[in-house]
Amino acid sequence: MQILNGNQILVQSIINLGGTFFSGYPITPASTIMNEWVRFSKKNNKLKFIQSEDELSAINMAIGASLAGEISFTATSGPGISLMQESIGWAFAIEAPIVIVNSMRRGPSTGMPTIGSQGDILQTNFGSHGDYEIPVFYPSSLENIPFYTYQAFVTAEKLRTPVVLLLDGYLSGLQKNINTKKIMNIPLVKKSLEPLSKNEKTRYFTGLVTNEDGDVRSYSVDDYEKWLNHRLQKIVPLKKNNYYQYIDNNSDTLVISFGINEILCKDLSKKNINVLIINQLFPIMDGVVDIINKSKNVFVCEINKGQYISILSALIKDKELKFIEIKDIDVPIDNILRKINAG
Amino acid sequence: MLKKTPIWCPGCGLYLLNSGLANTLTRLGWNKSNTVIISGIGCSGRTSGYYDLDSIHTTHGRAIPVAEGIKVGNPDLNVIVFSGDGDLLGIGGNHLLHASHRGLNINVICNRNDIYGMTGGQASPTTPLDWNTKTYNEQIPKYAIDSFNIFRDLPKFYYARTSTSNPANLFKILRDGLSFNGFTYIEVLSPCVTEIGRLQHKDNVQENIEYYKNFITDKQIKKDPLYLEFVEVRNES
Repeated sequence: MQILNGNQILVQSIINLGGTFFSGYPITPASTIMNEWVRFSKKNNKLKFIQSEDELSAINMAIGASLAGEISFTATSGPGISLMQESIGWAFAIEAPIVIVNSMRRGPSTGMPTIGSQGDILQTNFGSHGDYEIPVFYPSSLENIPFYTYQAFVTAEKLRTPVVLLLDGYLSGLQKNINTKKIMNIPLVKKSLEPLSKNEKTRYFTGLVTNEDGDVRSYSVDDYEKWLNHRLQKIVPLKKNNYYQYIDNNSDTLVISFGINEILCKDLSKKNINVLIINQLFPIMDGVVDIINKSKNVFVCEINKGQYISILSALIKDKELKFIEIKDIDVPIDNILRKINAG
Repeated sequence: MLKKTPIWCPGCGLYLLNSGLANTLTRLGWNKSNTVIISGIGCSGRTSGYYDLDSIHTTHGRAIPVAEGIKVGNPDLNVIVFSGDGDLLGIGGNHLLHASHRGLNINVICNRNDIYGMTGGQASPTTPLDWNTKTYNEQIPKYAIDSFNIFRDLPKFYYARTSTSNPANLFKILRDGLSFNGFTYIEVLSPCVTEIGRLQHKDNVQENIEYYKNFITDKQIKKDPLYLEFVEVRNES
């Protein structure tokens, strides 16, 4: 048993699953991830670290190291993710496996650096230009951070895609006396992409659209369709995952949420309300859509102005999803119940 | 090394520069089992697609961070960054500043044609003040950047400036620079006949050569009427 906070659990999980490279730039509340990584790397030669001069180079260094054979990641917060958007789109185009940790804080702009939020959910999949989709995992308690960290890395390596691992500022700083068995018993992740210079045929990693022969000088729309569809279809199998927690109290009312709100939702479930906590935000799981279709009154609670509800509403045709904004995590549960009863 | 016909205009300095680089790689024994080439965006940035090596075509200005990540990830690889002056000194200027101070053993080759060629002739960070470009603005002039200033106080680097008018010197500098065990930066003045030549009254080869011969950037430069050469190597640890 050890007293650890969310960021420390994240770093120890990554080290135990075989992560070897981290490049980052300090930003609240993700700077402690960097400090913790360096603390471990001083005792372990296999862990590599570069402190970059800005977030733009942090993510590009991590992508370079990933192509060279390391299991790499970078960690930042909202303002850093805004800077990294072009490179996230580039990683999607060249099919580079990389995990980007976003410990969300209040925005926009400098905002409130020390208060957590859930305001970067739409940015994970709509921040860069063009049509693209990348998987997003979001642990909801200190206990399931190791599991979803493992899912993020194994998905990134298997499907050769960038993956966003969300945390909020609350989870990053939340401390608990925790049983470290789950952190230690995490399986190893292996690289699936042949490292640079070790492949039989030479490869050209480019953001340009290429045709099947690897030629960039193609101007036909068919080549574009094939290139894009190959990348978009890769993550469709993830829709079959069951990465959610559903508490069924046989009620008419369903409350959906994620992240730090799990604590609030567990209290709500004791008042005989059905509760759904989602841990994989993108792609949207078929199981989630089924549960929403089976329920009568559906409320979505988020610490933002209504981001994930807009994505779910596009898929649900027969009823209107209702939004409840969680202003802060120590809101009394009666406030939420009042809003639910008011409809 | 070169396996496709490049898209560059006839008369472009990139043809000679890449011949020199390919020749150098063969002489040094660098091939697809131990070398990676990374390039940015622009005409110079299309280079990486023409080599029989694992090659990476990054977003604008981010070739150097990718190279540093690769070098730390696998220190046994020979890493070459090949890009243009707009990519390395404009949007990527910050990365060059910090990478030179980190001092990893990567090789940066800058094809310096003093223009943004692919987008049609806009002024670049190294365009001299008296040149006429599509974005020449008399109200807010901007002095040209001398990249040697970044390296001035460092204890260990290989810095060279030469031109494509000087092939023997260029090939020797490429050989020495790539085999140097430290941060290497080779700047090669090269003509962009399509965008520069016809905008400056320098649309004949002789005037272009005269311009490069008389180019002075620093008091230490050896102004030789026949050749252009400036090499500074420091190797204190």
